[in-house]
Amino acid sequence: MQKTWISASPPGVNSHAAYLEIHNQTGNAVSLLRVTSPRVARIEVHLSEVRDGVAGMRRQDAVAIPAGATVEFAPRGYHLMLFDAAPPLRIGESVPFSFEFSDGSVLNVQAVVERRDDPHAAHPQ
Amino acid sequence: MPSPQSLRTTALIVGLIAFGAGIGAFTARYYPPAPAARIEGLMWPNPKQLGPFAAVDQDGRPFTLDRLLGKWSFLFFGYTHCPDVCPVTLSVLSQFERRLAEDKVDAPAQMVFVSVDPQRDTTVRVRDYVRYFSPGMIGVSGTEAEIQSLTSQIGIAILHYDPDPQGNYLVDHSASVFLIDTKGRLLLVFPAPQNAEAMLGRFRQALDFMKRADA
Ligand SMILES: [Cu+2]
Repeated sequence: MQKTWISASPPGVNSHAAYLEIHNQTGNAVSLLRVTSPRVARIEVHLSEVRDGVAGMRRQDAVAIPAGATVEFAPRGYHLMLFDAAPPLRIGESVPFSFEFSDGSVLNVQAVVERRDDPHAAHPQ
Repeated sequence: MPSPQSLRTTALIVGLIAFGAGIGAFTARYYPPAPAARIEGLMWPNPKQLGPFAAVDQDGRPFTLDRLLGKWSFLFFGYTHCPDVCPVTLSVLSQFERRLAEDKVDAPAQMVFVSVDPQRDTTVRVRDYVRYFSPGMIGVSGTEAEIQSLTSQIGIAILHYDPDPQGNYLVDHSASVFLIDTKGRLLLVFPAPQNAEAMLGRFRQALDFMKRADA
């Protein structure tokens, strides 16, 4: 798993999107079934889609990762939705996650909360 | 190995309420103005003239049609609890705003975020939200009826989903950025996914075109 990061939220917003790449280096197709973190009450896998000009997020029960393939979680596509982190996540914080796959494997990963969208924008505060 | 039963199968989405008109009528409409001026998303020669509406800006002041007149306004409709598409789009608008200044584009422009989630998005919340993206961005909120007085005219699709037990809910909304010209007409639609450079190019084309077409 690579390029993990969590998008910092604007003030007052306590839901975050987390992004990463999953490389399946095994010889078998696997599915991502569940993601948990001790810092976040609830995590869902979402896919953002635009249909007929309308943007929506759809919760995914599982994400298939074919053998040898890479699935990218990136803005406007797949992302992890982190609901109700308590206390709220802070920029620079490293958050532990467990990824559970259909072959029974569990991968533990850390992701850092970052503001990547717009480095030149005025900072809040 | 996790069994399928261990997965939560309860659908988050149990119902939806739609309000506002569909967006299809606008995106499907295309008028080739002149062979030389094929500008994607341009509504010429029939840009829709907006009529009166009444919403509230981030400082609690009325946000009405006259706030759009004399400026090129770039409108995006979303909600502050939207963690993926909305922040990306508002970042693009903020970059676009900066690029307009860098390139000294001679057209007064304003970036406007309009909340389609009146239940959760208070004026203060919307103010904090837009300030995160740009100091000059306008953030519009209001009651459902106030928001609708604007969204219904532009044809913004909005779908509110029922809340989960924690009270979280999602809102589907138009992904496009809408350009309202200095006369309060819906002139151009930038469909998703937007990027600042492409928007800049198309806005310049539209400005050139309008100098000739709307003199
Ligand atoms: Cu999501």
